[in-house]
Amino acid sequence: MNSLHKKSLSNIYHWLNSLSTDQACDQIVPILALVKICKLNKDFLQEEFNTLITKFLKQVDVIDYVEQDIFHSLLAIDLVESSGNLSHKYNAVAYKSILKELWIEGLYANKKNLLDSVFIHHEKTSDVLEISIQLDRYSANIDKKISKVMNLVEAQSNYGRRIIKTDKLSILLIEAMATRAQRANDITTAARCLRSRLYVSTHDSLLMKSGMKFLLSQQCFDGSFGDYDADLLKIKNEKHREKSTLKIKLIVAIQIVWTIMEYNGYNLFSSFQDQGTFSTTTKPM
Amino acid sequence: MNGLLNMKDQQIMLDGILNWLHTNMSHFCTPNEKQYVGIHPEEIEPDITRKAFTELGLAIRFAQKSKKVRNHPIFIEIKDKWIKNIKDSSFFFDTKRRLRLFPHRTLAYATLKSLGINYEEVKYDLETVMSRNYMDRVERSAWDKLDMKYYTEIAQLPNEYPSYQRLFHDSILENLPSHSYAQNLDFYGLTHLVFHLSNFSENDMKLITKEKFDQIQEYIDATLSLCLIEQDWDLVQELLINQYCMRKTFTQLDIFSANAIKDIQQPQGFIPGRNWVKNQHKEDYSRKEQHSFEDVYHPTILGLFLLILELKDTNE
Repeated sequence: MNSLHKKSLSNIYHWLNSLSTDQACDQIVPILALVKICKLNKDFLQEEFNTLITKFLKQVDVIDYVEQDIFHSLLAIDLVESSGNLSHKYNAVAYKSILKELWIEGLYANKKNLLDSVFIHHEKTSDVLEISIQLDRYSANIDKKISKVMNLVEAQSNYGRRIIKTDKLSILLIEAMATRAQRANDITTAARCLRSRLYVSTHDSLLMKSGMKFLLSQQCFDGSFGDYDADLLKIKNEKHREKSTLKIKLIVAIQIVWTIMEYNGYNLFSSFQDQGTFSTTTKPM
Repeated sequence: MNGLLNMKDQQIMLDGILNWLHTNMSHFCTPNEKQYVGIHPEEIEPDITRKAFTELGLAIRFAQKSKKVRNHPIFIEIKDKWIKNIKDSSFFFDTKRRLRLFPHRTLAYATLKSLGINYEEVKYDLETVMSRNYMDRVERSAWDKLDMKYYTEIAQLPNEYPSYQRLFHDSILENLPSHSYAQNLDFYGLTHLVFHLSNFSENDMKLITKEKFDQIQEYIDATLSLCLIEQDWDLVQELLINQYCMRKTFTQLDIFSANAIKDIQQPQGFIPGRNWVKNQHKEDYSRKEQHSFEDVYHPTILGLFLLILELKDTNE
């Protein structure tokens, strides 16, 4: 991990550390999700992030995962399973098992890729899968086309756990999709496209470099990510505005830090703990 | 250098483009210059018609490099109508005073010269303007200077613009902007610099750009892939012409892009512009068929340029 990426992580740590108790309690799930990603590099700021987890978890009795984004919840659960107290762990495992049941029943069809990758046990394999990305030369809905390609790459690569290969043109066009999103200031799509690009090739190219630079340059003075001040001025109530700002900044930070980690070879989905390390039959104290 | 399209597709595309240009020649014909009297010469701006007319002229001049294009019966009709408009519109009227029209008149003069038509009086007027130590000394970007240097040189007019080498060093080709923030105008800067520095592939870009050559090539490829995703067929074609200018051995990207252009050519023969593409993304079906001359003429002329490069005489 280069010094710029380390500096960025260090700034995130300071930002999270500066959040008030109210803010932390209100956004505990995405905060824990972000910390889970920040901890992927085991050689950097581990103690600092562990202290943060302890601090945040002390401030909440029960974590409510239900109203949260499923991806954020899964990341937070994974962190709590390893770092929470017995009560937190119990709740986390219970919610995860409910999610699993709903997934088995075929609910959450729009999160199928994500849940498949978390709940299906994948044997580690060194086999390389060759995929072909069929791109239409013309499409009436460019964004839909991009989303379709990303879904394919994420599913086939199991979010980077499986090595996949494709042709040079497809790699270049995925980079171009990321660049299109950057030019539109669509940060989450840009980050998603860059991760998909990393799943098909780790080669550093012109557009890969400019894309990573773009993501890093979204960091603000306080360590958060994204310049939404002007957009959020539409929310007149100051308290609501602050709440929404934090919510959006956490969503963006998760996407950016996840991409920085994948770029540095730390695969998020490989870091998920194996099923059954903590059972719901173990009663909380 | 291999080709981008097969012979059958080249022919279909060429016929379509020439048919559309021929059908729309009235839109290219400029107004009579003598009607603009009583207006200060500085206020006479090159509107869309003069721009379209001179760009078509540049394509007619360039088509002299391809027997297949210049001998095409529809092309000959287009060329004749273009020459006729020069007289009908008194195109070169008041050249020494209407300085904002100077680039267009220089280009039109160069086109006529390439067709063996010499207007001595126009030559005199254009040379006089150049000799005033004004046109080549005005503060402009390297891109603008290079465009003007190119136009004056193909018209064989004297000029004191900086050398191609110097203009290259002063241009964005020396330090290319990040794609994350670059605007379409920056990409047009890139493509025009490459067109004119290479004289549409006549000059070896490796000799001009030296150690920057590979970076520029990677940048063109990246920009082409971006414009392909954006479905910006105007820039896709400018960048494909750039690939010719770079004397590139075409890759999957270039062939895919050229075939995308072939596929997007409309039954009327035009190549769609940005507004046409935007309309296709709208729910209102009644607007999908509509297209304006302003939106589609430029990508269609670029299509002709690309085909001239594809069909260029090999013995040259």
